[in-house]
Amino acid sequence: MRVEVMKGILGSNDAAAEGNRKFWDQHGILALDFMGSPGSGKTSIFERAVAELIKRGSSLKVIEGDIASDNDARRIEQAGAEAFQINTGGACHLHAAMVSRAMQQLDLDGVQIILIENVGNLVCPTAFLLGAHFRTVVASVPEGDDKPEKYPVAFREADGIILNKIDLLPYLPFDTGRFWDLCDQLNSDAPQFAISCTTGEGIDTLCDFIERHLAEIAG
Amino acid sequence: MHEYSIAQYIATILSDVAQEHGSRVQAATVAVGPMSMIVPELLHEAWTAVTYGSPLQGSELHIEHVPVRATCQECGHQTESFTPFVKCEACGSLRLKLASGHELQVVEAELEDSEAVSDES
Repeated sequence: MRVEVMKGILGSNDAAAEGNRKFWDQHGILALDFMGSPGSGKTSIFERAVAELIKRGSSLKVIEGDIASDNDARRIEQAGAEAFQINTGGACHLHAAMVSRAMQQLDLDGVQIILIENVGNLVCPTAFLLGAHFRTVVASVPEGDDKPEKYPVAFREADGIILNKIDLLPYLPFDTGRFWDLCDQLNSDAPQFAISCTTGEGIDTLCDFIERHLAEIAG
Repeated sequence: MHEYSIAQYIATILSDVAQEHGSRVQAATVAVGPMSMIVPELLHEAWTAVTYGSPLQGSELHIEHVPVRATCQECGHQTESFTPFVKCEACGSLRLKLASGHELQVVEAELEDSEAVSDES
């Protein structure tokens, strides 16, 4: 007997992501999900952004997704924000329900911003929505200027694109024009940020962007 | 390698279908678009692993490949692709508007008829 099913495979994850979004909206919290290769500098960006946003008077918390270890959460706490470490134990991406559970563990009183670091991977996390208001993809100079061409789905679907480690540009054969042109072609809507966590260049602009959207959410 | 997760989601959906009809799933068809970046061989392997020892063990998973259909925003050409690395076939631009390609859906299930189930029990 043949039966029609017609059900989205990720329907339950999408529903959990919607639940997360609703929760954040009700609490006036802006949530940002960062995707990128291992070593692209997601945690370093968080360290810099956490310090800067706290200096500007924002209250934020961080969810760190890693296969194993709490190294990243410890780095974030040293930068001044409480971090909840999710260890996926092998899974190459976060699920919306993992984030929901993390939210239950965090004291969110007065929190305005949640930064989520997805597991380092440019393939698997793209299909699994977490409900965040912004999904940002992080690439870095040593990875090469053709990264958007190799991982088109991640770049096409991002709400923001960060190029990190721009302090290394003088030392590496990286064509910035080519990189941003590929990003423009794949996703002309996504705001672009060029950042160095070593010099701090571009961190201000990223934090301005975050604060602007926080103001929108808070009404 | 998110195929294992995807296989688990499919198994959950099909277990519900089987339970709802009081039957067992013999085969199922899933529609997969290239933008989901599923590798078919890996999904089949994951399906075997995930269903092993469960009532879904031995069920066949058919993958129906849905193409990306895209319109070039530079020259208007329509391109069809079965990979996520889609470029305009006419001018090579990546500036495309996608009308399909994200599909990830359980389309249908083939269930054992109820007599066969009662024969076994």
